[in-house]
Amino acid sequence: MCQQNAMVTEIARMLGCMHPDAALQDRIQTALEQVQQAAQPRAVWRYFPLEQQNTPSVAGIHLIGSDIARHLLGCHAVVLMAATLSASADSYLRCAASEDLSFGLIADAAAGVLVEQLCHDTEAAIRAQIKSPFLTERFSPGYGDLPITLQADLLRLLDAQRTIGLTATPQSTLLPMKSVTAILGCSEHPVQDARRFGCGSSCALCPHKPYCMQRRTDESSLEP
Amino acid sequence: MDFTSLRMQEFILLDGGMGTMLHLTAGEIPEALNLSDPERIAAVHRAYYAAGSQILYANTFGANRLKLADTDLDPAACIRAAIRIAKEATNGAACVALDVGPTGQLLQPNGMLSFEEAYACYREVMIAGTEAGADLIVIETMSDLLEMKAALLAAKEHSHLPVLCTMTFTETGRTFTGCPVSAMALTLEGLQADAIGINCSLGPREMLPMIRELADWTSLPLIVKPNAGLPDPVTGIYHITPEEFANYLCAFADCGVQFFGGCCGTTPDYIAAVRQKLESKRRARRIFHPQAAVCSGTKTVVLDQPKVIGERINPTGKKRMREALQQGDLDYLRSEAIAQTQAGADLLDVNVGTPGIDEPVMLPAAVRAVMEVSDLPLQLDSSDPAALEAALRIYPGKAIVNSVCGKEASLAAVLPLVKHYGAAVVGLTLDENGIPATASERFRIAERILQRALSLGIPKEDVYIDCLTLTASTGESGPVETIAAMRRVRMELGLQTVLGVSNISFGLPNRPLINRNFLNMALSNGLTLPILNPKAEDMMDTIRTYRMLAGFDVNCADYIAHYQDTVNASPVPLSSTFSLSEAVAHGMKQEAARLTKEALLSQEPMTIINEHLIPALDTVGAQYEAGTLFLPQLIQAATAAQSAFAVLKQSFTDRSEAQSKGTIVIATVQGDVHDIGKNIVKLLLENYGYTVIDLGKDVAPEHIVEAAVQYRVSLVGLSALMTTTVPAMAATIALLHERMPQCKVVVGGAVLTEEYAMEIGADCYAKDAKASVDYAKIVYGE
Repeated sequence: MCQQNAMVTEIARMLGCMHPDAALQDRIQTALEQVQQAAQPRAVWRYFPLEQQNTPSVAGIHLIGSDIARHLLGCHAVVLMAATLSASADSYLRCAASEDLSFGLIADAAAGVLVEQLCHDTEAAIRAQIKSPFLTERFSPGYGDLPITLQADLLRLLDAQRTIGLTATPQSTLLPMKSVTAILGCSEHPVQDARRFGCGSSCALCPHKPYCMQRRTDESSLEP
Repeated sequence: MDFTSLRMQEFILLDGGMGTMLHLTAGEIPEALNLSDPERIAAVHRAYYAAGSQILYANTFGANRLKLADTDLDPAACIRAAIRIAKEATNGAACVALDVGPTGQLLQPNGMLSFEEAYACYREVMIAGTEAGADLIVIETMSDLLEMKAALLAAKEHSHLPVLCTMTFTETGRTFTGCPVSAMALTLEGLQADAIGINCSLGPREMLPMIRELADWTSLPLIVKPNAGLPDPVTGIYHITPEEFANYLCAFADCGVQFFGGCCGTTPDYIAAVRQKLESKRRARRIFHPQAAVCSGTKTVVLDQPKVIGERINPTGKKRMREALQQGDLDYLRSEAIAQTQAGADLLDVNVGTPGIDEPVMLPAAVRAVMEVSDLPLQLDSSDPAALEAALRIYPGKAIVNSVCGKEASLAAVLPLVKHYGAAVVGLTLDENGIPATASERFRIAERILQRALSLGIPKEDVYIDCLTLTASTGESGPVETIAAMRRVRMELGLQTVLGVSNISFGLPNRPLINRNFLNMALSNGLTLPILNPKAEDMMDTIRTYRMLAGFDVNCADYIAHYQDTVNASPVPLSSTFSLSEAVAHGMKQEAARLTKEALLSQEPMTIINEHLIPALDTVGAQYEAGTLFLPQLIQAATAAQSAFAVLKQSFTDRSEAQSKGTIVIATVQGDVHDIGKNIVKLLLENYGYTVIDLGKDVAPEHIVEAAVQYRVSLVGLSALMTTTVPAMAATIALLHERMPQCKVVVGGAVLTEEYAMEIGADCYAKDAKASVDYAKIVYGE
């Protein structure tokens, strides 16, 4: 229940409402429950050795950009993961938006929060199974200067179409839509795992901070 | 050995995993090895043959142009090489199958790939494989029934070879795209696959209950080709041993399975173990009881009790639907599909026949639109065989064709389509002499239609008969003859019966009263598929009550679920004290429509717009900009305003004073599938009096420009959400500026900035939907 409440707050935040009224909270709650019912959360992950030469690379795939290189500094291996709420969630969102655009928008945000939760749960499972003492945070294509065009390669390495039904379009959109891929670095030594990109635990280090509409106003309380 | 003689054997052994055996190194593409390292592939085939495989899957799983798009490999060349390698590996001793896997792209509506593109891709594969001398075709690891259908149709239409079809299922008993085992069986048997089954999909243990279910749904030979369980994410090792695998597979022989093999993680050791185990087994004889059923790509409806066909998507006598079709406004069809689905329809009829409509183009478009928002199986309703075929091709699942009749021309044109696409068909009891007056003559036409269908190999379960409702006011014996004919069709021929119910009351007062009583009469006399308006509550009440009283509703569960709250239903709320502006501002859709109707009694439509609706929207817009009200509430208010406008629009059409402030074409650009932002913009623009031509998502630049030219617009709105699709936006703008230099372009989307928008040549960057409206006002000189 506590988790549901936290998710409602998070969905409201994604919709740009810091203090949703009771009516909006009710609609968010309903949307969340319906998306949960429609979704079939699936995730797959695999462990790969990391080659660190000029650029880090996994099974022959070069991870391009300075941000991922910094993220994986000192790592000897990576875990690649992919997670999706499945096509059933997309079908539900299509119907919801077609019937009532306002509710559809809320449901869309709810699905966004749920896929994030799925990533969180998958990461927890990874952390429980991986022997490496230290793991970085998740880093996804499109964060910083890691190109989004990497999606197809990551999916191939995970055999993601077979294992969880996840594909990428030629434009690198993940389909089903409510899906995420990510890279976690494995290291024998403590990693600098401040999350610099995406939307997670810290806004302080995020390069999008100056203009991000989702920026937390209660930032100080969340900082370690 | 050839496939026909192989088919006579008790068991047939397929091979195991190819990828598992190849031990690919970084960056290697399996299909490329056919050309660069044929010996490596041949060695795998020889190993499987030595282990007992009688059918070898050539190394062509991903050899299609969509999967190989990023490489310089020619799919046909890969296929030719692969078939040759497999044939030579055993000197022709084993059968060689052209192995066909998914394209790697999701089909619409879940993805962007169209049926036609998928079909074209598979056609190349089937032609190349057949020409290269494959002994048979296997289509495997499919998740989407429509993609499977594209591949199977391509095979059947471009090759004479037998086709084996297997799909991959999850622990839910459905594929990733939601296809249940039953829908796969109904569809693929209809499309005349030669054997069907399940491959990949977790391990053999999880697959067993699905195969049992499949055996109940098909008369075709069965195939299993499971994974060796699931791989360990750290080591990549599959957890089931050859011995365990073989033990599991023996249980499949007891379900009557004939084809056995392995998928991911299996090796020749697994095949050898299976072969050894099966030596002492016989396959169980199967007893198959065919049942009447239809399906969409994600839902099966068994016709074991009266099922309701929703009639609302039909322009006949429905002005709003006719207008929507003529304007290409598929949103209205979608909303009718959703409403009927929610009201309890089991199937939906789709008819687009109205003057000015190109049915072969519009029927498939309407079918696609309906399937975006409803999972119900569809009845494709047209008298034009070309329209029926166009819709049958792109329909995932087993549809109902409505209709054929006793006329020779109709039988000759429609029934072959029904057979080819594996559909069910509604036969109308009329012929060259019109609708017979008597029940016995109608019954004879029904018999004739049935005989003709059977002679083409269409099973009896797939022939439904409509004995035709004639208007009661035209003759007192009409209803009785219809009922009598229908009763005989049901009792003597054992066929499903269809009837458009509400026709009975045409021209008479109190139509609902007649309709529900006629429905009751018809149900009691063997009507199984009433076509009616599921939004008419009394009709659905009659259906539910009949199902309960006739013993179809176990424990009255469905009846109770629907009506238990009726006794203590909450009292009807007193009429509110809200004003129209307040109702809009609070996003109260029904209330806004009701208050608008009320206001129309004393005020002119333009007064209502200018004095109530626009001020309410402006207030909400200002609150949104000030941050005291948020996007969902803004949209809710806009939706409420839209319901008010819909009421006004009717009074406008009556008085022909509809005044649009201008027409705007909007679209999400090619390659981009995100459309929620675009839809918000559309809603707001409509609120402010603009006519919006919404081209949808993933729209090619040429298509956008054509629409802009056709509607002679001064403004085009484009949306893109990905850095990778902004180039398509730039290309669209360039083409627009070239062809329509005077036309302005407003762009929006998450990845865009003011600067970026100017760089790609846009005239305006809209940071949100409100900003788009503001720009439209400037362009149209408000």
